[in-house]
Amino acid sequence: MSKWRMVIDLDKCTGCGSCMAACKMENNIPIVDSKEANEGGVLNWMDVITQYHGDYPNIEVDRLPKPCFQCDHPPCTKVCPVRATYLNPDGLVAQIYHRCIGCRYCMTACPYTSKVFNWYEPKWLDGPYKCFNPDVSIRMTGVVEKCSFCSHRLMKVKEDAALEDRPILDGEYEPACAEICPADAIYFGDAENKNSEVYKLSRSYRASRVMDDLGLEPKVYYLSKRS
Amino acid sequence: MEIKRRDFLKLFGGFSGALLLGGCGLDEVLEVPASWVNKVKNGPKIETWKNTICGLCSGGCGIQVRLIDGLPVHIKGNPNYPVNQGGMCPLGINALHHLYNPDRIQIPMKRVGNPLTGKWEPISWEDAFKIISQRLIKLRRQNITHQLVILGSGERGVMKELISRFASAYGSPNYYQFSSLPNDVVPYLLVHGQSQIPSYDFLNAKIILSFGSNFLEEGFSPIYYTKLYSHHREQQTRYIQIEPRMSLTAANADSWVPIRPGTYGALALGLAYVLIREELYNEDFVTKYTFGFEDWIDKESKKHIGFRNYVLENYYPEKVSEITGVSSELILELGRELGNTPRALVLGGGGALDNTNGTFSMMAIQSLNGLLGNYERKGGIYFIDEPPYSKLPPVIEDSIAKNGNKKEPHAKPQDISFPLTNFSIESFTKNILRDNPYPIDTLFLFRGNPLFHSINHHEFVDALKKTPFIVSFDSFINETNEYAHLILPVNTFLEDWNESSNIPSVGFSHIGIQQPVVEPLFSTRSMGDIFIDLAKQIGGTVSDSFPFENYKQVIEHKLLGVYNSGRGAIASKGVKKMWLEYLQQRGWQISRYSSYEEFWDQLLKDGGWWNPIREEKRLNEIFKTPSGKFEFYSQKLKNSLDTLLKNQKENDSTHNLESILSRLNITARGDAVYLPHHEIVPYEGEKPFYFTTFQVLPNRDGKGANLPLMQEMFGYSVRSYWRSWVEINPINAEEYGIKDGDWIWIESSINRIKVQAKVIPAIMPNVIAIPFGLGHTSYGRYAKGYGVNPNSIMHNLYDYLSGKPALDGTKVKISLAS
Repeated sequence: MSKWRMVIDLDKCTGCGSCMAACKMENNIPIVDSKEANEGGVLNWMDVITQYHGDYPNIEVDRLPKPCFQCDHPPCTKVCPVRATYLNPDGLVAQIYHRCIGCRYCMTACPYTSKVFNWYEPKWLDGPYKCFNPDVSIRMTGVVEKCSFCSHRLMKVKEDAALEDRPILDGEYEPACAEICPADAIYFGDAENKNSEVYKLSRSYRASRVMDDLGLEPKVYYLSKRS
Repeated sequence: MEIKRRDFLKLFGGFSGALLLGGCGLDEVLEVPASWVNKVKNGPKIETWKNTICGLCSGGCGIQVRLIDGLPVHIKGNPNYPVNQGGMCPLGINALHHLYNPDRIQIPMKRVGNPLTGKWEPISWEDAFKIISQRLIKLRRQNITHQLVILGSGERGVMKELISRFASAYGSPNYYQFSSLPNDVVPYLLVHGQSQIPSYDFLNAKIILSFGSNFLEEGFSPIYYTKLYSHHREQQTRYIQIEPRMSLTAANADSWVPIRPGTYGALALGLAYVLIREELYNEDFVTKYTFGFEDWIDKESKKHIGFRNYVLENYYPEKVSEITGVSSELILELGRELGNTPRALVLGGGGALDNTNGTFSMMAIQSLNGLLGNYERKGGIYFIDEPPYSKLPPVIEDSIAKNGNKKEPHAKPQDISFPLTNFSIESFTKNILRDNPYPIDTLFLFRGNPLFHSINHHEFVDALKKTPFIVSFDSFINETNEYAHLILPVNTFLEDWNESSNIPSVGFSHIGIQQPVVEPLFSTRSMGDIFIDLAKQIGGTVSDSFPFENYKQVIEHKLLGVYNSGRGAIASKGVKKMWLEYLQQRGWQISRYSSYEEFWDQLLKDGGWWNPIREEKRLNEIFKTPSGKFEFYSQKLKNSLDTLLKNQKENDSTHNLESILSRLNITARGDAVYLPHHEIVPYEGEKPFYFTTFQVLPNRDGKGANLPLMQEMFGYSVRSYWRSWVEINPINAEEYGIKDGDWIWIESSINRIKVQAKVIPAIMPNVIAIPFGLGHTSYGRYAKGYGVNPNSIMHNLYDYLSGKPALDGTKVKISLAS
């Protein structure tokens, strides 16, 4: 059984936002118009958070790419009244959109604010061409959505591996953000595989997890010299 | 479009393939070619990938396009392409929205009525060609071919060669490019004697000191630099970024040094002072390969002051500190760090160039590289070779063309302005308005949007209105081509052939092949083909100069030279630099191709060619200055000012050197004029704030504004979507009672704009910064009416010498908008 882990090297990350864009294109995330966006309606599965510390001129900037942390003990699944979100057999926190009743309990329960709600009618590029990714379903108004670690890619990789009767190779399954990152700051792989990059990096002295004391066992590690 | 829960379920039961084209029903699909609808509904869903080059900015990243039954659905970086190695920026990732954009021009259009208020009437390609070729043939008959002016944008390589070929075969000396590149190279021309943008060996440098060069966001190829940067933790490189606003590059640097806008040159000379005074400079290099360091005596036995003594007399740390706002302790510290670290690299750009004194500032910055002897060495500066392209057959000029080509270039600055350049957008505008040196008849606008960039909006509009006939070659209607009489829709880069070679400042020679991944969606045509066909229609020697059926053939012809040279390798998996070097040392090469066809096919499959192996040049070969050395004292500048003076005298003008210098706004006198020095920017004194602009990755130079996703991401770092913001320091915010999110007026003596304030400490007090790229008045539904254009309130100021717009040359006042 694989244990998928993501390691984000903040010392390498420049905060360019490529992961956000790649995620939006990969997962058919609706485009939010000006009014709705500035009211806080932007749907980011992967969000780059910017924080400034210190006073001029001694300033440090934190830029934190934040996907869903896919906790091993997710608090969001426990509160869902209709089991629209659950921990799937791959260990990923999944969403079943057409089961979701839009109560947003899971959003409240998530300490990492990783979940977003479709307040508005979804909008894509005008005109006949929407350029959707055919591997990912689109969502309707009134449901919660979030980063899935691009689990549709895992489905494909699993099928290929099963057909060829072999285990999944290191690096074969990678979410869109990790694939595109121009700074090579996002690592993804199987923490059970001791030769994998994530196995080594998640044990680095620089590694830490956000709010680790909650005991939720998030699957995303951050590497940083500053803590 | 609306998705009801039932529709949504239906999608999954029935035709999930319709997702590609649109969610609900197939009504909207009516506009889509029938073959597409059929493919989406009944296709076998076969996945293929094609390699090509991203054409949304100058960066030249290799991309892979995922196609389902031949229809593009996704873009990712090409991991084997050496420039971006699989990385991409947000804009490139979103390129499919560029292809599928609902605001694309789908058919040639003719304007009926006045600009902006008139209507666009569709016409056929045949008619459009007829209109243009008749006009061009008429000009040839009247022997006034020089009255055709072509204004390009950022095209390079083969496309640039093709257009200039068209111009010279036709007989016009007037092919210009609206991008700042021709102006940017002026300082390099002065110190190095050649206008090639140098490459920097980031990987082996220990310190990278950047004067305003925001290479992670605004450089020639941000993704190339992001790749280099991301290795710096392993390399232990120290990045120091000098600029008034903390850009993405400064935020990632180890140290950010805020500096007053327009004073970069002074700081560079302050550091030079420390290097010279403490004898930390590279004495060997300075004595052997530089000119003008020590005091010297010219042929006429006149004594000249050397760079050493000039700097020691004028740029001591306390004085520099007063000019720049950087403390003298920090100047000493930086200078010592620079001098004591082997392999310290200095580069400049961005704000250092975007001012009236840009050329002198950049000369000062480059003089640090001269002092440190950073040329042709590990962790230093080098010049890459041109790819071994074959030559096109010579252009055939008949007597009409010869006559036209002999005419003075139309956009050449008249009077005394901008002596070191053949083109500035300002002289271009002025010369059209004054019919000087001659009136123009036809203007070809070749992509790009100069009006949106212009800081002299009204005059530029007048110039466009005055031009009798404008043809625009573009994929979208924008501010500039609203004034065109005819628009020819060209393919987007995903539907077109092109090549992208040697991106400026990228550290190796390379060629990327841009190939069509999909048939044109609309009735659009390839840019290169249009020029070839136009030449054919004009006939005679113009046609004879283009013995090609289409643009693809031109590229194939050029690449033949690369195949024959046997150098470099196709950028495929496993072909790494180390391996190529290993082969080179043993005198081997990769020649796995039995024929050119095989080479070409492999090139299309893998997307590009590169040659990381460079023959090291000797130091006395690289500088093409009059002295053959790195010039502290620029003889080229001296010569061009002398020529200017001579010409003025011949014209019986009363100008002397003094009046020329004051016309050029140069305050220095004597030898200092030709040495790197600090010129004071003529800011308006009373206004309290320096006004600066920057670009963000999702938009770059305004190009991303018609992509809705990029508009949404525009200000992701400050949570400002689809709109502009202004960054202001908390100290100033408190002074003016401004809170984060308040709307404020920014007012120059030209105009004022209203923007939302973001109070952040990452900007110098008394400096405000606005992102460039929004505030379109045209350019489609997603761009028009969002945000403000900061260039609209700028003073019409230019670099004295290079003619580059002084984007940082304005001061403003602010007030709370109620």
